[in-house]
Amino acid sequence: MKNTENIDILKKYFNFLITNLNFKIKEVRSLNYALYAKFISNNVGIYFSYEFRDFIPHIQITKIDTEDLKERPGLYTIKELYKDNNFKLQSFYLDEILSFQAQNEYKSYFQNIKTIEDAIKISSELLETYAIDYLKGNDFNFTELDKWFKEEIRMH
Amino acid sequence: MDSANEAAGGAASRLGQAGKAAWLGRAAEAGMNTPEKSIVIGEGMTKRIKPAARSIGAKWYQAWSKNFPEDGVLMTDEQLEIALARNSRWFYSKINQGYKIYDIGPKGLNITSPFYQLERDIIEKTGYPTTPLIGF
Repeated sequence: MKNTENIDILKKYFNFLITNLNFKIKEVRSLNYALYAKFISNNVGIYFSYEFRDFIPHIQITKIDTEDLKERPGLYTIKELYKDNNFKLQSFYLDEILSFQAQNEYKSYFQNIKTIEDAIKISSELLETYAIDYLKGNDFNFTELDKWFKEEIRMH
Repeated sequence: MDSANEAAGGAASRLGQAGKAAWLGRAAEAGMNTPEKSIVIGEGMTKRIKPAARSIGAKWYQAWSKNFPEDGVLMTDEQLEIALARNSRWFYSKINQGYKIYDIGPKGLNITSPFYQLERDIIEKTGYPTTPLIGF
């Protein structure tokens, strides 16, 4: 399969971001081992990261002021950042949104996938079903998720 | 359990706690004496592991090209098992050689990579020391 075909698959299943929510594709990078993409609206950025050997795509949703969308640092770094009481996390992964909403575990949806297309399709459906308020940049949702996330880190 | 496990973590568990501590101590000591011998583990190869490893001159696990999908088809369960066994052998070999292990951690609250999960399981089983690496 040519790498461009994976881009076509991504565009097919994530088209709702563009047609319904005014996102645009800022960047797509397709490799033989991974697919990366950035979608940007006027106040939200989505970083799609799929390293195929891990089976499951990561979708990071970030409240942004500019189009400068960066990948969120990992958990250990966020723990350090939370030591500053004024720090407010504005970037979350789809699997964290599902956990916050007490849905089934994100990876459980991918147990029977066979192809890259299967995984991309499922991830787009979960994004559209469970993260629509975040995709619209609703401040309240990001604030509530930040509080929950901070508590989760404190408990663990 | 594969042969590498038998040679490393498996051996540690057979030694009992005292033997395990001594074995781990030797391995850790070897790592401290040769600080250039280090690896980085975590989730996110391109944007996290590679930059972290390069920033400290460490190595990282090179994914097997056989893991890469052909015609858009992901690994079967059997292929995944083989790939994980290869990762396991590599990881145990680094432990046996006393490499210092830097851990940049998961991307978020949940580990989703079976390869990183495997490495964390081995660390848990062996008690081999790791160093959290912040900033990635």
